[in-house]
Amino acid sequence: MKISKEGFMGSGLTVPVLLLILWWAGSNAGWWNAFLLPSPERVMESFILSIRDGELQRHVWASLERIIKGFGLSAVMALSFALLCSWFPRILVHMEPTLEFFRHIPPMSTVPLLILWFGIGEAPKIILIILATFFPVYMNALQGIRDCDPKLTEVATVFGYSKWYRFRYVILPSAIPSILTGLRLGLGYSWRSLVAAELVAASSGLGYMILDAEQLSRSDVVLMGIFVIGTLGAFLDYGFLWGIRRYLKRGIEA
Amino acid sequence: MSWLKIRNLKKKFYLEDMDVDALNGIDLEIEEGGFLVIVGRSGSGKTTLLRILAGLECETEGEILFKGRKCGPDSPLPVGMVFQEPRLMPWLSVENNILFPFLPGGISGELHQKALDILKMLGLEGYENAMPHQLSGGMAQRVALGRALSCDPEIVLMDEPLGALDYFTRRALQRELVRIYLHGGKTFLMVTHDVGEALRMGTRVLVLKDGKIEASIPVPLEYPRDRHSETFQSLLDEVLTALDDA
Repeated sequence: MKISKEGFMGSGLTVPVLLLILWWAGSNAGWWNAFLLPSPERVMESFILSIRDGELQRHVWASLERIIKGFGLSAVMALSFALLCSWFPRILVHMEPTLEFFRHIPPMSTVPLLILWFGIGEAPKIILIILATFFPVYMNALQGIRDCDPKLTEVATVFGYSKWYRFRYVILPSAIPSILTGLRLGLGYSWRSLVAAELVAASSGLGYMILDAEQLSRSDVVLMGIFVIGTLGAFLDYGFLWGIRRYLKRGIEA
Repeated sequence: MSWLKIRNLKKKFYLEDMDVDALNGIDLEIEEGGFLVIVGRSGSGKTTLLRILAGLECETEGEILFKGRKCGPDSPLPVGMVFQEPRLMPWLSVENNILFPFLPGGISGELHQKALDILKMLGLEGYENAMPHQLSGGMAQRVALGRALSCDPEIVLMDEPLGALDYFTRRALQRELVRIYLHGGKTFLMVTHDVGEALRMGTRVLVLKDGKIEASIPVPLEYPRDRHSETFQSLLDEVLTALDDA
C-alpha cells in the first residue's frame, strides 16, 4: 500500500478509516453490547498491554516461525515438483490422478490423523501448511511453464540453444509471473491454515492466542488477534512483492 | 561445389485423417551473397522451406548441403532468423534481446559494444535499455533483425518480416534491409507475399507452387530500384504470370 498521487483518498485507506470511525462512534453511543464488540480503545489497550508483557511477540514469532518453515518447505517442494513434471511429462501422466485426489481434500480434514500420527508438536502444523500451500504454488508454476509461448522457444532453437538453456533463458523467465502468483496465493493460504491449525492443537501462536481469549471471554483480545493476523498477512504479501520486484529489477536478465 | 544446395527436399505433415505434402521435391542451388526472395500462394511451402533451413522442422526426404557438408540436427546451417512477428523476449532489454544468441555464454564488454554498434546501424541508438513493450512494431522488428545479425550468421532467413507493418514502416524497413544486405556481405533468404517487395529487394525471385519450384527469376537491377522502369514492370509481369499459373 502506498499513498498515491491522488493523496489520501486514492491510497485505499478511506474504507478502513471510515469503518474505524463507525466502530468508534457506535461503541461510544452504545449501539451494541460492548462484550460482543468491544470499543477500538479497549482493543488498543489490550494490544499495548500484550506488547508490554511480551505475549504478543511470543505468539507472533511462534506463528511466523511455522509460516517460514511450512511455506518455505512447501514452496521448495512444489516448485521442484513442477519443474520435474515439466521436464519429464511422463511423471505427470502417472501422478495426475493421485494429485487430483489430494488437491480436493481440505487440509483441515486431515488434522485428526496428523495429531494421531505426529502428536501435538510442530510437525502437524507444518504439514498442514504444506498441504494447504503446495497445490496453488505447484499448479501455477506448472501452468506458467506450460503456457510459455512456443514461438519464443523457437527463437532459442534457431540460435542453437540446448534444451537446458531454452528452459533457463526462455521458459523459466516467461513463467515467473505465474510462479509469483502461485507463491502469493500460497503465502495467503499458509496464514489461513496456520491459524486453523493453532486453533486445534497448540500452546503458542496467534490462533492459540485467539482460542485462549475465547475461553476467557476476552473478545477484545480475539479482535486484537484478528487485526494482527490481517495486518501481518498484508505486510508479508507487500514485503514479498517488494522483494521480488527488487530482484526482478536487479536483473532476471542476468 | 555449390555454396548451398538443396536436393529433392520433401516434407510431409501427418494430420489426423490425411497427409499433406508441404514440399514436393525442391531442388535449388543458392549462391553466396545473394538475396533470394521466395513468393507463392498460401500453402505453397515457402515457410516450411525456411523452417527446415532454420532447423525448426525436419525434412521427410532429401538433403541440404552447405559447402559440401550435409546439414542436420547435429550440424545446423549457420543462420539467423527474423520471423513475421518480432518475437522479442519481453523480460529482456533491447540490448539483451540483440545479444540473445550469446546469453548462455555470458555477455562481455566486447559484446556490449557489438550490441551498441548494431543498434546504431539500425537507427536505434539510445534504446539499449528500453523494454520491448516500449517499442513500436517497426522498431521491434528492427531489434529482431539486429538479433539475427548479432551472431554474424552466413545466412539470414526472414519469414515475411515486414508482413505485419504499416505501409510507411514497411517501405522504410525495405530500404534498411537492402542497405544492410549491401553492406553485410551475407546471404539473405526472405519469404514474402508482396511481389513488388520481392522485386525491390531480391537478386532472385523464386516462385513456389504446391511445394515445388514453379519459376526462378533473376533480378538484374541495381539498387535502389525504380518500380516504374520497363525492366521492373516486365519482371513484375513475369513473376505475376508465374504466380497466376501457380
